[in-house]
Amino acid sequence: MDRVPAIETRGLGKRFGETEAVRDLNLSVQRGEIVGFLGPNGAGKTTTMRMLAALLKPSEGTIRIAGVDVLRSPLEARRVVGFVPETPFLYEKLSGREFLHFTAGLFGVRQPFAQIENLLRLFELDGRGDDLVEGYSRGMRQKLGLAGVLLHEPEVLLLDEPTNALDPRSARTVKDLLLGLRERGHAVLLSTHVLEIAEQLCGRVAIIDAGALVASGTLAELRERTGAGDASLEDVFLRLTGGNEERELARYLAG
Amino acid sequence: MPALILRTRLKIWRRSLRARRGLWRYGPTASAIIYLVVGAFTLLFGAGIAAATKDQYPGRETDLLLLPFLALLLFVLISGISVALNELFIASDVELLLTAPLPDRVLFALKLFDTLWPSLLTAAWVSCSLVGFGIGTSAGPLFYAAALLACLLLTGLLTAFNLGIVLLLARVFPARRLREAVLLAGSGLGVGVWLFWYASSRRGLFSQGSLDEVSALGGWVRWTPPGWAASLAADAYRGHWLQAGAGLIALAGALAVLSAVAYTLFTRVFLSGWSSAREAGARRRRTRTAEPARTHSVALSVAIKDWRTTVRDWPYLSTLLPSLAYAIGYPFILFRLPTGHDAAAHWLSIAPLPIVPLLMTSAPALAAVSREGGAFDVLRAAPLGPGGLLLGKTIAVATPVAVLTALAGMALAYLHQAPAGAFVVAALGGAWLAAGCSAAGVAVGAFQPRFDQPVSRGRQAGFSAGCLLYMAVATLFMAGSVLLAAVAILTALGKLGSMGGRVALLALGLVLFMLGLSAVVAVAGVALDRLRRLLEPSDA
Repeated sequence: MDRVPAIETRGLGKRFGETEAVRDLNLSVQRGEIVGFLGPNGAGKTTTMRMLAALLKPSEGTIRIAGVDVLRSPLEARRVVGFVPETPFLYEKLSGREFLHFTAGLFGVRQPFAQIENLLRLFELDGRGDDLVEGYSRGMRQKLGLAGVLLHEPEVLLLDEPTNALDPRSARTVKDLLLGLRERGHAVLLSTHVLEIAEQLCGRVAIIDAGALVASGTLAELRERTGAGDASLEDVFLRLTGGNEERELARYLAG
Repeated sequence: MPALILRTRLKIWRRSLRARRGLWRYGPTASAIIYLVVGAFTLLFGAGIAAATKDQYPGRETDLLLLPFLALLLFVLISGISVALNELFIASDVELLLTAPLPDRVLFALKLFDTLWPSLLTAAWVSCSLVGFGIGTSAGPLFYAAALLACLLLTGLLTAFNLGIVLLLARVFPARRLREAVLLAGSGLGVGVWLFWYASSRRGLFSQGSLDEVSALGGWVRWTPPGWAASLAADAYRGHWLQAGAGLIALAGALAVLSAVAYTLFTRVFLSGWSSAREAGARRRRTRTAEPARTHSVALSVAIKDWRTTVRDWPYLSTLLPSLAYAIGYPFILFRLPTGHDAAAHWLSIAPLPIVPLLMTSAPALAAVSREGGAFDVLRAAPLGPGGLLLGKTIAVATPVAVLTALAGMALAYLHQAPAGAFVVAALGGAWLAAGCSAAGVAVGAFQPRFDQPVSRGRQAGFSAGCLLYMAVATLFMAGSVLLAAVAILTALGKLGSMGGRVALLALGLVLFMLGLSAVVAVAGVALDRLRRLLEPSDA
């Protein structure tokens, strides 16, 4: 069972009317692995994440999460997945602590007390746990969303820009947390625009552009493939997604 | 610049209309038709009342004309303050407008316009009753011009007043909280006015006594803007042009002064109020609730979440107040059932009880699923089945409704000195009916939930097809239960004639009971299928 990839997509595609948001995506993430999911704005990252989280129906292809066919058994897949969108879904009129207890109820976590308090402490929300979510800053919401997802200890974590809006200390906490989860055998698919984070945390990266996977592998493999020598991930990313023209334009505009 | 902003807003509005799907596309047309029908009815009502009272109470035109202007005052003050708070401090375009190089006067004019136009809709409706008055009393053409001008000036004046008040209040209280409190208070006031209206109409709204009360009120408000407006219209009706001119000058002058005050306040305190509204998000609103030792079931977790979010959501609570008032008001005020000294008459006191859950349930049940709004994705991302969700939502609605229905039933039994058995029947029967109505309402509300409506009020089905379907199913559900209970009670009291009649009624009760139960099960089945599809991975 352990050999079954934590995330596996085959020929995954999604069309919105005439627009092809994702096409023929083959992706695989193993247990104990953090894979960076990179791409320019509108490349199809969030659409892919939502399909993996069993929120969006693919137009074609298959998705298996921990061996579970997401389309056939979405409820079973959601039991093993933790999805944190870029803007987490929260209830404004619940306190942070109440939200976590509610999430524990939804995921059937039997004795969540200690875990909830630990998570609140970890994300430095313990002092604001009884405040209503409507009074939370964006960063606090992000942390609460993450805490809610970690509560049921999912085998697979899908994180869409998890460090957005976080202060440096919280971002560090999240990074350490992800490394700890990797050690414990969880699989993480991490979508981010902060290439530095991807470089630090991810064993492999998958780069998507205009809905298609343009490259996948370790940083060394990508350097080799693009002939970029010992270039940074940023340079590799720009070569693969054609960002050099924009760079020239920016230089021109800056005079 | 203002033309550009207005053009852009028009474009956005048109696109949002085009983006509507299914029956929702016809919403604005349906609203316009309803508005026109209500306007026509108001016109006819005004004409009828004016014609009927013209000869009966000569010389009391000011009293009669005061009523529409008082109604305008009430509606514009209740709705206008919340609209002004929204437009000045909460609307999403304020930040953008503030960062643009717009002079204060342009920004003020835009916000005045935004605040004024919803009140103009109310003013147009009130004008219908003034036109009706003119038709009913065969007034001259100048009366119409004067009355409509008075209506327009009063609306502008009240809007300027609202802006000024809101600008001052928002310096002290956070705008968002203030708006929630205003909505709740406005709803309470509306319910109070409705009860007053109801009590008056039972006595005869335009009886001599009622008009005397209006006259007394007129004495109080004679020197306020609604009084000036009523005097202006009445003087125009009588052809007293000098007095009418004085009224016009008073109204126009007050409008100018209040607008100037509002503009001055806008230039001085708007930014500090706006900043305070932004900071409000960072202000703490603490709550400490005891959590159980073990996690609840999924359904109970959903129900508890709904109870907590409901009691803290004042705008949503304000939408529930009217249905609560109707539900309690009708059985206690409307029905004056024949009373007597025998046991059957005392039992009869709890007969209006089914009205309580029927009316009380519609608003919270039909909106139960839609209320989730964007947070519905929290449920979709969890391993939650449609059964757990429907059960949780039904528990959330049924519990408070059952408690209130049982209490109302016992209060009715107590007021009419019903026997002890009536208390038991009222409590248990009330709870049963509440459960059935809630299940039917929540299920119907799940047929086509709208998660995109930004305001809780907009998520309620109102007089939609869903509301009518709920009424039909709930009534059918209750009919069988009520008939069976009535047969049992009357049999116990020995009031049910022959055995044949008893058996026939019992059979009818059973058939109705089964039909009602089947109807609830059927709508629940459709709702489960609908929720299953909503919880599954979606196409968009």
